[in-house]
Amino acid sequence: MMQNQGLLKNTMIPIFGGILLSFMFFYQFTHTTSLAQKILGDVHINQWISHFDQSMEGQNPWLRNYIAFTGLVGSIRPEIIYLEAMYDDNQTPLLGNQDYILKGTPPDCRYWSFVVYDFNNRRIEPYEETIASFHRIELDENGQYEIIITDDLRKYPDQNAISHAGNDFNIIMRIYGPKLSYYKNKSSVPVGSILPSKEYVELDN
Amino acid sequence: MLNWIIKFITAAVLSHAFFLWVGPHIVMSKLDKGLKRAQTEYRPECGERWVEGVIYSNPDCLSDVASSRRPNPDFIYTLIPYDLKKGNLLVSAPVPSDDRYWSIHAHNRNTDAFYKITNTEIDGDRFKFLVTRDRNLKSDLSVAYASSNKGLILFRLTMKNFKEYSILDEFRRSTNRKYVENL
Repeated sequence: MMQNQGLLKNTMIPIFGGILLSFMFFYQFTHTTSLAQKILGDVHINQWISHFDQSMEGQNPWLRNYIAFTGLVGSIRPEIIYLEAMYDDNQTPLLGNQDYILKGTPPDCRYWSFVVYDFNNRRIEPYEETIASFHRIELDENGQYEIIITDDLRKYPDQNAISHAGNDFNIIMRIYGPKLSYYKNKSSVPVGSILPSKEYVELDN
Repeated sequence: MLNWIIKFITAAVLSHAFFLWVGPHIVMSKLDKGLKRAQTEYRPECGERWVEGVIYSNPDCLSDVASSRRPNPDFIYTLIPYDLKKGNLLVSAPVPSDDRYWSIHAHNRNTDAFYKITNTEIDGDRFKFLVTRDRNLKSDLSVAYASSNKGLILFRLTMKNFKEYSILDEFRRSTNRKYVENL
């Protein structure tokens, strides 16, 4: 009896404790978490975390897992830059009970888009309403995009708007075929500002 | 106490290394299951998804695939899972004009990409390439050198608007693949 207790205390507890701690740390890299974002992003620009072609051979194994669990497969450079944001400009999580204005200058590339996903990285239905891409977004006279993110597109007829359908969400910006200078100066990738629409109107006034 | 700490740290490090190794393989296994379902379960709303080893995913049917995370709604994804134990893989695919983004990526079993090409790098309206593990293999065709027997080829084709789906779906369906022993 005493021997069993000793085995439990001196061997099993430290081994299972080590495995449990290891799994808890690993789990952080299987979801879009603050820890994963802090550690893994190539460059942090405001609230945006950038990833430059995440599926390079020989990359760090934490990033490989993060990409596999959150997006399955990436790319090899120079081809795809992903940026993701979980927060607005005030560092507040993006909430499903708010409307937001996403505004900025488009990147120089072959294709770009913004897509909103829920916090589990699943797409939001109807998925056709969750994407704003350069094929369909109208830019203003200064060449900037202004996109409303809302729970109901009917509130903003004839405007660039996409839907979070009431879900707390994150945003992915995809840049395909980017100009190569972005790789030399990673901070030069233009990112958008994200503000709750009420605050944006106040600032605009 | 020192013994206790050594056991704790050793268990943590070894198990963490194991989790890091097995993670991408778990995700790829989930994908295998999704692709198997596409092969064996016909759903009218999804169309013919599995045709001779090529999976023509339908954006409407992506939400119920466990491995599908953050798909781009603008993209039509075509996938070719492969096993190079059956031979080198010869892939042939139609190439759209440069005004829409299109690319091919080839991935090892651990999800790392080892090959990439886009339509702006290709002359002509059709592209053929080989996937092999044989680093000495030379060919007139473009060659993608894989590091694992099993893997995945992924095509991304952009829809400028969602109404284009049926036209582009028909366009991509001339994609084919076959295993070849000798060239």
